[in-house]
This record gives sequence, C-alpha cells and structure tokens, in this order.
Amino acid sequence: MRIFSLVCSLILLIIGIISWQGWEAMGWPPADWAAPLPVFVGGAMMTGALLSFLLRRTGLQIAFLSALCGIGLAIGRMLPSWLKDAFNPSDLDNQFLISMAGLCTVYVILSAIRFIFRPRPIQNAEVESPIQADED
Amino acid sequence: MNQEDETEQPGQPSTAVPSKRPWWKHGLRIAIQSILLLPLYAAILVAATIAGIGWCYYDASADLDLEKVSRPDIGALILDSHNVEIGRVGSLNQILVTREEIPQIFIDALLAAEDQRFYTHPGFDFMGSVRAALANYRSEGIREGGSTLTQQLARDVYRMEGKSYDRKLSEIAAAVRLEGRYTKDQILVNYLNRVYFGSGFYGLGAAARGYFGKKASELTIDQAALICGIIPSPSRYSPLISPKRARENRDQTLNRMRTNGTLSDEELQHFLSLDTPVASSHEDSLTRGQTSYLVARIERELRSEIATWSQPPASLDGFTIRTSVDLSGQQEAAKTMDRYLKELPVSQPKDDPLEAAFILLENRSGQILLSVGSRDFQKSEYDRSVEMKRPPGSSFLPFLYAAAYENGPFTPATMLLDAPFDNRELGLGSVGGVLGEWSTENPDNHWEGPIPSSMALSQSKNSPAARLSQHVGLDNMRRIVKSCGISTDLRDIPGSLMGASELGLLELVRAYTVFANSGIPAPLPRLIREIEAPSGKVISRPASYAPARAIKASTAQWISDALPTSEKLPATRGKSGTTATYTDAWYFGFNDEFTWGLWVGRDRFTPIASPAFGGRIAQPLAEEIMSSRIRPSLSSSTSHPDHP
Repeated sequence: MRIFSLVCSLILLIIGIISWQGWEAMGWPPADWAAPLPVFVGGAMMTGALLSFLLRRTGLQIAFLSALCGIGLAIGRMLPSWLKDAFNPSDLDNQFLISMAGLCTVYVILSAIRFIFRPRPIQNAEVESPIQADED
Repeated sequence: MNQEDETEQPGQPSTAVPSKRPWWKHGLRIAIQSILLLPLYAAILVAATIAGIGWCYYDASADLDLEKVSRPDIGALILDSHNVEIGRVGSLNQILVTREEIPQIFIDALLAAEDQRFYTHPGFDFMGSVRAALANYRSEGIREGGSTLTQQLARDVYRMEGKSYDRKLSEIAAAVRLEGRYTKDQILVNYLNRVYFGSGFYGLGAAARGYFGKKASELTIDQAALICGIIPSPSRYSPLISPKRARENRDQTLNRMRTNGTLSDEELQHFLSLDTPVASSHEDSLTRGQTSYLVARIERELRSEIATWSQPPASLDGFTIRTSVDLSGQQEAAKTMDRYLKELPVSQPKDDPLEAAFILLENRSGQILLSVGSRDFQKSEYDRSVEMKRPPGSSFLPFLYAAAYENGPFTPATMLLDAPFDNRELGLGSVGGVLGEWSTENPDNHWEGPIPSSMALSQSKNSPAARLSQHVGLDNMRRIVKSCGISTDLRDIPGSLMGASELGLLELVRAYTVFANSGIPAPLPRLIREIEAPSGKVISRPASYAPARAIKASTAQWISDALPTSEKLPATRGKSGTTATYTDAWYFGFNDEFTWGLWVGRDRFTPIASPAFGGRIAQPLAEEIMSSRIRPSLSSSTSHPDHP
C-alpha cells in the first residue's frame, strides 16, 4: 500500500504540474488555483506515503485523508457548474479535476478494501511475528 | 483508513502458541472500527466538498470591480419635456454621510436589527447562515436571508438579484472579497449610503431627511430603530406605507438592543412608549412619489432599450435621457387624483383604499406625457398603468363596433334591437341583467326598440351590443384589437367581445388613438424621447415608423362621431366603462392631439360602491386632470388630420 500511495501521489503531482505549466498555454486565465489543485492533493499524499515508511499507520492515514479531500475538492469545484447545467466535461480544467477525482476514488476504494479484508493477526506469538503487515 | 497494523507486534516474545485471532473477533473488530470511522470520513468528505464549492465561487468573484463600492455612481441624467431634471438612472438620489455623521446609537440599532456579529465575522456569518438555512428548510422555501451587512452591500452593488442558493454563494464570495479590501467602518459607511429605506429614500441621509426632516447625526434612538426596521422589506415596512408594521419592527429592534445590552430596561420602556411620528407631509409624499415612480419607470424602459443595442455601454455615467413626460403636470395629476378620490362619497377602508391610474399619450408620436401608476407611489409601488390588467367593461364597446363596421354590412345607420337579451348567451353578469342593463342602468326597463348602431354606441346600450357581438365573433374581434395595439390576448369567452377580458390601461389608451388618428394606432408608447451620449451625440430616438393601419379611416370617423362629446373639455370625445360588479370604473377620451385613459378601482377587486359607473366616477376625474392641459384656445375640433 505504501508503494501504491507513492505512485498515486506522483501521478497527481504530474497531473498538477502539467496543468499548472500548461494552463495559460491552454488558453485559461492565469493564476487560477484550480490548476495546481492536483499538486496540493498529490503533495499531501506523497508526504503521507513517505512518512509511512517511518510511521506506517500515521503515514497511510495522511495519504488516505488527502485522497478523501481530493475527491471532495474536485467534486465541490465542479458541482456548481454542473448544477447550473454549465458543466462541460471536455474542458481541460474539468478533465484534470475528473482525473484527480478518479485517481483519488480508486485509492480510497482500494484502501477501504485493504482495511476490510486485511489478514487476521497472530495472537500470542512465541517469537517475533513473521507476518509483515506491509504486503505491498 | 488504517490497514492491518494490528498484525505488527514485533519484538514481543510470548510463551503461548501462536494462533490467528478468531474470525468472528476479527470481523467484529473491523465492523466496529468501520462504524466509528465512517461518519468521521463522511464529514471530512463533505467538508472538502464544501471547501471546493466555496473555492469555485471565490474564484468566480475574482472579476468583481471592488472599487465600485466606494465609487459614487453619476448615472444618467433624466430630463422631462421642459428639460427639468427628474432624477438619475444608474445612481441613487442620496445624501451621502461620513462615518463621523453616523451616530453610534444608529450603528447599535443597525447591528441589533441586521448583523449582530458584524465586527467579528469575515463577511459572512456562519451561524446566521445555518440559522437561516434551518428556517428555510422548515418552511420548505427561501424565507430568511441570514445575510450580513457586507453581503447586503455586495448584493446591492453587484445587482445580485433573486433568491437562490447560487446567488447566495456568489454573494458570500463577493462579501469575503470586500472584507479583504475595505475596513469594517468603510463597509458600514458604504452600506448606509446605498441601502434602500423605502419610499424613494436611498441611504441614511435621505431617509433621515425624508422621514424626520433632520440630519442623520440628529436621529434619536427610537427614530434610528424605526429606520433600521424598514431594511428587510422597504416597500412594505416604510412608515409612510404601513405605520403599524413600521412601529412593530421598531419595537423589535429596540428589544434586540435591550438583549444586546445597548439599552437598559428603563430606556427600553421609555422608547417603546414613544410614537415616533414621521415629519414627511402628505403633499411631499405625493410629489416625491411621482419622481421616484418616473425614475423607476424610465429606468425599466431604458434598460430594455439598451438591451437591443449591439454594443451596450458599460456604464450610464454621463448619458442624458430626454423624456416626453411633464414632471410638474405629473405631480399635479397625482395631487388632483388623491384629492378627488378622498372626496368621493364612498367607503375607503385603510386596508383597501381606492386607487387610480392615468395615462396621457400624444396621438401621433405615442409619447407618454403623463403616467400616474398609483395614487401615492410612496404608499403603493404597484404600477397600475402598466402592470395591472382589469376588464374594461363598456369602454371596450368602440372596438366591438369598429370590428362590426370593418367587416360589414354594419354601418352607423344599421338598426339594432334594444330589447331584453338573455345575458346567459354571453355569459355576462347575473341572471338579472347584462352589466346592470335590466336593473340599475335601466331601472324603468325602458327599451328603445330598433335604434341606429351609432346611437346604441353613443348611449352605451348593452343589449344591442350583445346582439352585435354575436355577428362579429371572437376571431374578428381579436384581429381588430391586436392591430389597434392591444397585445394581451382576449380570453376565450363570449363576454370578451363586450369587455369582460382583462386588459391593461396603457394598451387600451394606445388602442383608442386609432379613433383620433384616422384608424392608425400610435407607435408603441414610450417615455424616452432621445438618449444622448456623454459626447453629445444622440444615439437613440424612438422609432418614427408609421404603424400599420388598424381600421379604415371611415370606421374611425364613424366611431369618433358616435362617441359622446365632453361637456367640460371642448372638442373632445370619450367613452366611459363600468364592470358588472362595479369593481372598475374607466374613462377614455381623445382629441386631435392627445388620448387619455383613467381607471379607478380597488386592488382587492371589491366594488368601488354600488352603483359606481365610469361616467360618474372616472370621467369627472379624467376631465379635471385634463382641464389644465386642454384650454379652449389650444383645442381644435376633432376632425381627423391626414396621416402619413
């Protein structure tokens, strides 16, 4: 899960950087903070992913919450125009947000599955537990 | 969400035999953790979504011109037909006040009434919004605004109109930006210089002067509370419109000031016992009301005119709007109307007073010279000359006869039978009679027998008209009235032929111009004569087209000749109208130059009196208003000019 978190955060960072760098070139007005939104979410997720190599539980929690916030922010950013029937999914900025929301959703779902179907732990182990939680 | 960490207990030796945790214990643990964590994660997701929505609206408000708040609008100057200033469109008729001129007691009252956390919130009051949202949820609609003063200022400056959540969120975003740009005191001053206090008063300075005849700095606590109580609904809570509601709101504000600790119990009791009378005289109210009414009406016309331009101007600053209206004539007409209605010997309860509307048009140009939409605009802003539609009753008969003459074989000499007619065939009136034909209007049941149609029209005989209407038919009637300039569709009932269908005063007056204009209706009536750009260039004049002929010149002449002449106004003819239940009294008159129309009635559709005929209620008032305008030396005969 740690490696997967790292990969997801990298993808989000790349989406955000492409979006931010190419924003004006794509004809959008400058300094729109929607452009680097994936960078913020990806950055937070990467922080969690890296931290999870030291503090596993805390790091993965941060990554999970970042993904959850990514979904919410993207939905919230697109919701008003969708409610006003002005939402155009073919707009590049919307495509970036949809990509981010999609990736974060996949991450959240996989994390939830991993949480629910985690292996049963060993009790009263005589020696140091041979089962490593990290099954990435 | 945290995974599988219960598995890790490295470095803890045990003597027990290692075994997996029982499956039921494991499952139960997951279930409990899920139940505990799910609401937390759901709350985080919702919070993030709300943040995203807020972010979206905040970004959308980036284009707002924040300087507009403190920049006074110059607007467009409106001149009447004598080049007298009526007011300004796109700016407010204000008396600007500074922070030093606003008494602290007024600020206390304002904050108690409108925005108690003004000095602490960032532009929107979360708790206030939640409270309003709950109240709206309970009432299944949008009733409470929960808007802060900054939000109200943003709404006013950027014209965020309507009640919707989209508008509300845009308003919050704009308010947050304003809070970033201005100090709280600057926001307060700008708000108080712009907010509408009803009865045509924009800003605290104008309200203090208008309601109490004093400066803002001289207001007493009860006066301040009364003015603050107007803000939620200025058109209803103005003390000139509803003194009772205004006082209730004043008391509410005073009670809130007590709750806030601004007033002591003794002070509260003292101020609650005061009357807080307004200083504005009734005459002032009438005069000022007509000015406000004209500005509002001209602004509506101007905005619809500008909407047709290919390149609408970004601002109206520096424009001059020349109009055809006569301001002093308008104010005199309103005074005459009010005086006349007061003196009418009919019941006039305060909650259902008599109202009236009057329109005077120039026949050839369609220019509106007088337009009184309300007896006192400061008490009722409902424009009855344009917005109201009422059945014109027998004042509609000239169009029925015109339709009959147009289609033949009817002429003024055609004999029509004046004899009892079963009104149920037309669906008019009660079983007892058509528009009172067999009761009040003709108490002796005197029937003329066969009479010429011109005489039937002249005497407004309903029975011959009812017979004639059966020949004309609704389709013919609709065609004629449309070509005369009546845009409202006649209702699909036989009674529409005899004036049972609701129509507007302005369209009826315009339609009457066909009789003065040899069958051609006046161009679309308007108040604006020309619009002059700041450079001095005239950029808009009314369309000078000659509308298509509606009826033959001979038909127009026949109708005109048949209509009775006025005894008071030389060389004018006209027709009165009454509806079956005496709820509406009408009079339409015309001469070579002008056509005018007047309606008297009540907004609640209750009878004016019983009986109340247009000829006795509306005609004298119309003649009194017109008597100052039509003098023997100026008037000419009603012979018809050649039309282009």
